[in-house]
Amino acid sequence: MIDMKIGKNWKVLLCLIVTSMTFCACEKDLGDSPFELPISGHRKLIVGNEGSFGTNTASVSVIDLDDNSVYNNVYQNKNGEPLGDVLQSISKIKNQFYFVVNNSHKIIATDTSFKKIAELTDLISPRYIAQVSESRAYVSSIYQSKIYVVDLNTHSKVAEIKMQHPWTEQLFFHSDSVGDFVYVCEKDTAVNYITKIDVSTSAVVDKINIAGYSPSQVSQSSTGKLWVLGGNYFNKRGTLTEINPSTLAIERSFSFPNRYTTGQLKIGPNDDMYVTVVDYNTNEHGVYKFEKNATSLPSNLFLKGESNANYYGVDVDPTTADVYVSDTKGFTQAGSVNQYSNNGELLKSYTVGIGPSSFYFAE
Amino acid sequence: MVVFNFSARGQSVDTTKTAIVKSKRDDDQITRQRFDTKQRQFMISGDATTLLEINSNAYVRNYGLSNLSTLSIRGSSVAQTSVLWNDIPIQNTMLGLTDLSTVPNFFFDKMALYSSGFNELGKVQTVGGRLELSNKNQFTNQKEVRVGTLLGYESFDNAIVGLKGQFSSKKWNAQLKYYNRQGQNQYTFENRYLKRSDTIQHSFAIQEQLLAELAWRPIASQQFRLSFWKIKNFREIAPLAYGDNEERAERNSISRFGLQHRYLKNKFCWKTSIGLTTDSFFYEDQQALLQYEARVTNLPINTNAKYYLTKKSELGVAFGQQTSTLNRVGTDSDQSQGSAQLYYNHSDLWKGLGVNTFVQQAYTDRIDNPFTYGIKLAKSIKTDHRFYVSFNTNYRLPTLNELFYFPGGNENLLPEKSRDFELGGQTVFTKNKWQFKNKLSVYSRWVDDWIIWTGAAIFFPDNIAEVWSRGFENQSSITYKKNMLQIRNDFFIHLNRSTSQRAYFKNDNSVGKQIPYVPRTSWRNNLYVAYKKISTQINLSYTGYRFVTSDESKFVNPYTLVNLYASYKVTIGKKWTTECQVRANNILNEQYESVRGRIMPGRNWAIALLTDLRF
Repeated sequence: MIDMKIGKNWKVLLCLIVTSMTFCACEKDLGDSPFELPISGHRKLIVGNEGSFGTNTASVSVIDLDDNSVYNNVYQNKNGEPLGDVLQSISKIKNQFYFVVNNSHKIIATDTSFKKIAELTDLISPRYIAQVSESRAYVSSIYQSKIYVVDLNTHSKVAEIKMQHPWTEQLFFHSDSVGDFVYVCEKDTAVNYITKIDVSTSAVVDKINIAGYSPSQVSQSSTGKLWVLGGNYFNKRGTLTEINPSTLAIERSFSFPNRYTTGQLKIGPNDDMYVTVVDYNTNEHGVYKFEKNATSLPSNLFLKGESNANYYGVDVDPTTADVYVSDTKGFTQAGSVNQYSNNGELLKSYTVGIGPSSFYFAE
Repeated sequence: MVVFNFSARGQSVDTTKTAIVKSKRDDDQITRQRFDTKQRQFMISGDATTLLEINSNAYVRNYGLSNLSTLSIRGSSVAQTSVLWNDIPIQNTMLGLTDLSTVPNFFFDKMALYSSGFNELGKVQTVGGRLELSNKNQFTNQKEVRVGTLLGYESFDNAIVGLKGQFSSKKWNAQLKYYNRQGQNQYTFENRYLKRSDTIQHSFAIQEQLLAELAWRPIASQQFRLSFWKIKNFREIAPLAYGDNEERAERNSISRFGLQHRYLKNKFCWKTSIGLTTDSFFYEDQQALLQYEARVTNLPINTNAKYYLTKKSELGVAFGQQTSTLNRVGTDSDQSQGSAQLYYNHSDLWKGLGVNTFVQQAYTDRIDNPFTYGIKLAKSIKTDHRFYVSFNTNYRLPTLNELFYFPGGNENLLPEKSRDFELGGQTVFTKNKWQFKNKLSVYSRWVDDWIIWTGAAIFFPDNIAEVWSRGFENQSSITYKKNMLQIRNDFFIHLNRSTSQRAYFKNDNSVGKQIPYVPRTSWRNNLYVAYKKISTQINLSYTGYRFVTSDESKFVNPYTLVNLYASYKVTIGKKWTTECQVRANNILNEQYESVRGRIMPGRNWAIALLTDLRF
């Protein structure tokens, strides 16, 4: 040990310590700032952002389709509270928006200005909601072998319909001369059908075969045909099946390449169909476009994600037929929504919330 | 530099018949922080989480009381930091982490944090730093028996029991330790997400551990050690503050075995350690009806032989081999890695300039076999002031989850690779009864092929990121001693920027932004005052913003904590010591989150009673 003259050195060091502590206390405030939402009279695309799982960062964005403005955090700014964890889907029923927040186990109902009206709870991991009558809707659920029946006037759960498998995904209401039915996708690799529920009895009445397994998305074309998207990661090959709801027969089907996984299905105003896929041979994301009268899988992707794009949600503008595709960017940062013409030309890109996955076109 | 026992490198003289070698201070101590008795005193009933949170510049990501907690050093990811027990890596090779909440401070006499990733001796293949745990295996000329007990209670309705016994003689040292911590982990908090007061639910946890070590020194030049560490851990996972209806739980059963041998004769020293770890993991979500079960086995072997060329220089080789196996329902996966290192150290190469160098070739069953190297130069000025500069490269192999998780695992992943540059120094000033010590490090680490999980419907990992971590770490300590009065103040400060440097998405907003859960600023201040039988400590700590997203759009608020500790120690007849401790934590009742959605306890207290008896 060597004696040193401490003297001034101590004062200098003490000043450094105090200065450091002062510096540390001066981190900037990172709060959000509010905004106005001029939505009246403009066509809008409502974007549901799932958020990053487990972080309560689900949100709603609104794209003004008339002037291409983007408004983010719409729900939180309107209501002063976060939306929740994992916004799975958006529906509009009786002039109210229903935001199905999967990991918060709730559905939030708002008016068309996004002001909260009610919160449906007592639901476990809801996924999609479909109106089945003037006062009733069905809600699908992940991890639960059931469909919830909710009252749209009291915004409460009133019944449950037992299902065979623990994961129900998209559901579609169809009314015909026979009656009112809901077609439900039970997402399980053992399932090669969609389940038909009679709304009048809330009972399962039939199982309609599809071309493949593990159905997840069901929609209807303008010709009244049902289209079902299936497939599950590497276990079951992706398929797209056209079903005649009157005869329950498969009229067309397409099989996706090996090691492709399918995401979402949307049908455009011209009955073109769009499917998001991931090629796990290359980890590339893309979108297939099936023309209305297609008889085989397109030879090429309609849209191919570039620069590690994580394509997830897809939808088609019912007015312009422009295609909108969401890029989640791994759910680690603000995502983007790309707008393409019906020929696949990139028109615009919008920055939205974290993990954009669902869309709703509103007037 | 000379090694005379399993876990310490430092200044000592061995006067055995076979060798007389002098040693000098090694340069690891500048980048090494050994937690001394003062720093450990009030942490003894807890785990490594609190020890590191209060007494280091490392960042601990704490998922809640009695819940998972993980270590990050200088902006590294969890998988880039390592934990060694008796030189055996104990990271779970499936997840790439060690849960610090299962490392009881009561078990270990020696706990040291290495902030630098300088990989001399080939001990650990990772990009970031490491935590080392060990016990002193002291051999005594007379037979000695020592027993100790720990009883603790926390205001969360948690109870802690610890027992330890040790026998030592000229040739044997045997230790047996037991630790049990269990309780409801109950506390109330202000839930800012749901705007109401809440009580933590579904948070019971029980942890039971056993540690046994047997060291045998038949002759002075040979030493063996056999170790066993068993952990049984069950915890209910409390719902996130914004998530209702969650009922999740996990269960671990971990068994760790270690066998070590050291041989020292004339100018030759040889050390070998063999480990075996099995980690059975079970997770269930009763709400989602999900269950996940996995079993990971890890077999690390490390051998290190060195020859002392002169009194100041040594040349050595180190070989390491690690085989990891993952068993899940229906699948088995494995990964093997090995390394061969050549190193040379000289404590006085030229006018007091010391040098440490190594070159290492890895070999793996993957597609990339990294070659790494390093050099460190150090110089003393007037003995008490030592400065260093170093550069090294390092790597981290993907975890078993990153390779084989279904769906989404990527068997084509490359190792992460780093380039580290660092300079710093340690200074000591002493005058009369005062002493001032300061350690300063300035570092810059660039990591290529940083593994990121990305995707949409399915997540998969890829080597798509580059991260540049740079910063400034300082530890200073002021001590005053006079008669029975001791005053000491430790101050830690860490300024860090760890930013993404490469766009891996189109219009990537993460470039230049701080990576998630790495605070840019943190500091701690600990003031110890001890007089005769009474000891007290005041701890102040600040942890800055931590971003939740890679584009800095969401964050967790910074927080400041103040803790007060006091103890009264009585020694009876020089052989019996009893100490009673009282701790008041978070006395300002700060409502804070370490992880988003995990609101930590407000004001709380704990008591502990320790005894130590020697025969």
